Amino acid sequence: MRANCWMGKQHVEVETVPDPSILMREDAIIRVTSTAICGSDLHLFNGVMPTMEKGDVLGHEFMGEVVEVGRGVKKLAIGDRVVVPFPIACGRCAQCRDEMYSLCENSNPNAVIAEKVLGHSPAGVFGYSHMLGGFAGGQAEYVRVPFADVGPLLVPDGLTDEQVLFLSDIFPTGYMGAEMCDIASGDVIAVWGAGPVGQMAIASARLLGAERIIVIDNVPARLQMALERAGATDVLNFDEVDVLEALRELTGGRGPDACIDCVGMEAHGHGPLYLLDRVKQKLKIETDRPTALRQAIVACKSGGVVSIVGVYGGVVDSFPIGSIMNRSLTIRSGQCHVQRYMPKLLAHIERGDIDPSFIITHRLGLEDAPRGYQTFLDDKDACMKVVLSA
Amino acid sequence: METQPLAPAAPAAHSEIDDLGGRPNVEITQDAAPGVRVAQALGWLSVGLGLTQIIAPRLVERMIGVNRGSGLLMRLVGLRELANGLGLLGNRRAAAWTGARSLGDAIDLGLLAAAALVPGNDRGKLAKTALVVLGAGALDVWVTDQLDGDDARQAQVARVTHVGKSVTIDASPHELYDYWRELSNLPRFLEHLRSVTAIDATRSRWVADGPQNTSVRWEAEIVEDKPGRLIAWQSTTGPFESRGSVRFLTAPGGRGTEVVVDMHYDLMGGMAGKLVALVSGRAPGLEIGLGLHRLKQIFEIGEPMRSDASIHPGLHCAQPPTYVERDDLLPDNRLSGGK
Repeated sequence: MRANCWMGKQHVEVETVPDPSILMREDAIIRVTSTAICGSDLHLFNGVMPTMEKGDVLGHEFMGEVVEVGRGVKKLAIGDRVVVPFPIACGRCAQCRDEMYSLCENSNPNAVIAEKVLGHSPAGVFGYSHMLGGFAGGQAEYVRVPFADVGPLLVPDGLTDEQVLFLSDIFPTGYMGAEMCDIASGDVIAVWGAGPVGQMAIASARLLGAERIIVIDNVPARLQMALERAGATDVLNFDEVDVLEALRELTGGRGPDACIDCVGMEAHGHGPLYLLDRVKQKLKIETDRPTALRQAIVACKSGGVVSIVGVYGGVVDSFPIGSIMNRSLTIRSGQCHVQRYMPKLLAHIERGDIDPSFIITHRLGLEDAPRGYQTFLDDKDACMKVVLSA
Repeated sequence: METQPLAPAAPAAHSEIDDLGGRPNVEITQDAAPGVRVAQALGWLSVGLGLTQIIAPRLVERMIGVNRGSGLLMRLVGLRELANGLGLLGNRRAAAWTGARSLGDAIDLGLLAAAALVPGNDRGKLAKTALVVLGAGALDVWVTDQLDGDDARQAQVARVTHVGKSVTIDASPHELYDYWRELSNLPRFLEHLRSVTAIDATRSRWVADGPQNTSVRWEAEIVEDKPGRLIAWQSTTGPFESRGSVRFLTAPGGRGTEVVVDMHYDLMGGMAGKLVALVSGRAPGLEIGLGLHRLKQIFEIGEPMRSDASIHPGLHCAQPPTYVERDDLLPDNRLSGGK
């Protein structure tokens, strides 16, 4: 089959690789009909995520048709149309029983590597480093999906691929980012990052009843989409305004009730601390640049919540712990427990409360994946979300 | 306590974990006795001093007051110092090496006295140097005494690698004990083992992967066996000495069983064993950590977890394998889709 493979820093190639086969009794093989490039794939593309190997098949946002199932699969059948959550979860360990699917205790065969880096291991993830399992991803013609009865969600007839594809990751991720804010009516929510996850977080905060949603980014087209399509009420371009000052002004000096970091480890910003972070990340003495996170913490209302769904991989410096401690902030975070949110969010899509496909700007074939990555990285003004189709 | 080889195992070590009322003391081998720590420091000091004496003998001579030296004698003393330091750091029979240091101190004092008789040397500096050597000598004697005494066991312990790993599994202690006690099950989760065969009720024959497709064989015997609670064993033959135990503790909050493995490998007892671990890239701790995760997977999801990369031996990119022969994975009638 053809598959988009990681070949090194800023280098992906569509290669011919072996077709996947059933490796465990509860596996299914999916023929991929649509797959997307995630913002977090850019962390892999940029080579900032450790434990990648040349040849790794990428992609963790995908959907398609079941073409083969293992002996232990009971619910799913050949021909079923499914969208697949990015965390691989067994559905029966203690974490899965608590609906903490991205912390599945059994799905990462390389748990010992993750334990070395992170302390304890999270779940395995498709196409996302060897630390997270070494699973071939879904930017391919076919993909093997473990625990076929636990993860994949049946897609009802009448919904297009584009309407449901983002249930695999970014819609639930943005939704969890907003849900962790404990939004009450009248709340003001600030969202850092107006990329795909940011747009979903804004739309979700609106679904959950936030009164004002302020979004921070420096790409005009993305800020415009946040206002016009996602439901933001205010936008701040960090190239033009002092974000902390502007947020104080917009909230009568209180600060936002909750802040959502949808940026993660490769934030952009201004000032000497930002430049220092860039140097340290280059020298590999700091893995992550927490520019957005620092700002979200300092901006947040005393006693408020800082919700982190942007991806971080390792360690950061100059972390404003004093601001957290002295002002009773709550930090909530996590890779999304996608399986927990899929049915609820599918219902929102079916009811027409939201159509997440509004973020799609580029539709390419699988063979064009390398161009898709480069465009997504270079042309943020024109490119919001790339979908690759079979 | 006398210094004696750990093998063929000290039963005392097992009786420590005999009464399982609470958690047993875990032996932390990094925490050596004061004597051992000072011996290590002296080792580094010797290496540093020795190297300086070899590289810049004339400089050292002038520092201690020898103005008429050729540097040759100083180089020889440096060589002795370096050998002594490396011996100490190697941690084999540290008491013998600190003893040797004491002897060296005596020789140095003799040399200093001789140097004082040579006209042109600085007697004041030589006297100060002699005082320093006397002090070091006293320390050497103290450390030797410490190491020869009760703390000798600690020095011994430092030669042993301890690996402790644990995992919580959603199963009862008895289920897990029964599975483990059937020793032929071990290679199903400790995948570096090729086979474990029971010889009789307590003795067993083990075959494991060695470097370059070779195999390593040894025999072991169970030295303690408490159904549902504990199995402890030790090797009786083989390239390296090891003893280990697995305990099955009821986890708090109804979370199943905590499986706690402690392994001790005497690496000095057989350098071959260390070599095996190094060459085959299988550090014992890593294998046991991986193995306990697999044991959990066998009990909780019915089989060990596999990814596209992990089913290949060694480092491999995350691409599907070219061929998989596992018919038991597929439905009886593949056309029906397993329903």
